[in-house]
Amino acid sequence: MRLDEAGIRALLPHGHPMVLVDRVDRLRAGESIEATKVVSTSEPCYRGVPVGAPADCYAYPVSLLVESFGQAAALLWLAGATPTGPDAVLFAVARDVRIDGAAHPGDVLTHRARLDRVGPAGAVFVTGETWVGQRRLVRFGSLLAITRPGAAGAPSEEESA
Amino acid sequence: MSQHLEELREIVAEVLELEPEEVTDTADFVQDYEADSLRAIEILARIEKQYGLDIPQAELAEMRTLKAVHDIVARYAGWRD
Repeated sequence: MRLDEAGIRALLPHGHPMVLVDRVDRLRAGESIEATKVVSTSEPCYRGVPVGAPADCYAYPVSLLVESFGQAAALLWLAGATPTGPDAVLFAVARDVRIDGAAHPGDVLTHRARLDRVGPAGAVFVTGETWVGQRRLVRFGSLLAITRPGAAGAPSEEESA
Repeated sequence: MSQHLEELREIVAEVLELEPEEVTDTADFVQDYEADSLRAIEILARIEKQYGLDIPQAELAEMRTLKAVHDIVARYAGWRD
């Protein structure tokens, strides 16, 4: 399965500018996902960078790297059909995370996430990596989210207007 | 002290971001270590994963100390320690 921006917005509750997944290229619901996000100078995180700032200042913030991967992981869960409607997915914790590099504007992040285990009380464990081309930026040893069946989903048009 | 108890202490310490020696047998996770419900679920989930168990969610409410966790897990795992 593939998802474009419209398909992503229909599943994720996030609104602009916090949608940090641009496209889903491969999705096996409940198993694995490959999603991309393009880093752009026009993103809000670069708003305060002064002219003449060194290149380091344009490294994409790690917090947003983790958020972007987390959104890909949430899509992996949300794309699975549930009889009670869209689940609420709450990011709980990421452990054993190794960061080996930085992304900069123009880079295309590729998140590869796999569902590791569905635990008790709606706990879902995901593992995976974030790549830029052949360069692995981040390895996520274990990301834990808590899901609540049918508790929430993407906002309706009235709510997001 | 049993090996299982020490393994559980390691799991609890990792989730609560403490050193294993800081986790006593009877300290209350919520009152003494400021654990919240997410941490409690994570502890249960990691124990299930490590030992291949399926522990009912209803037991969560009782799993507030290391000793209580050990007693509950021992019951479902059939440990005799």
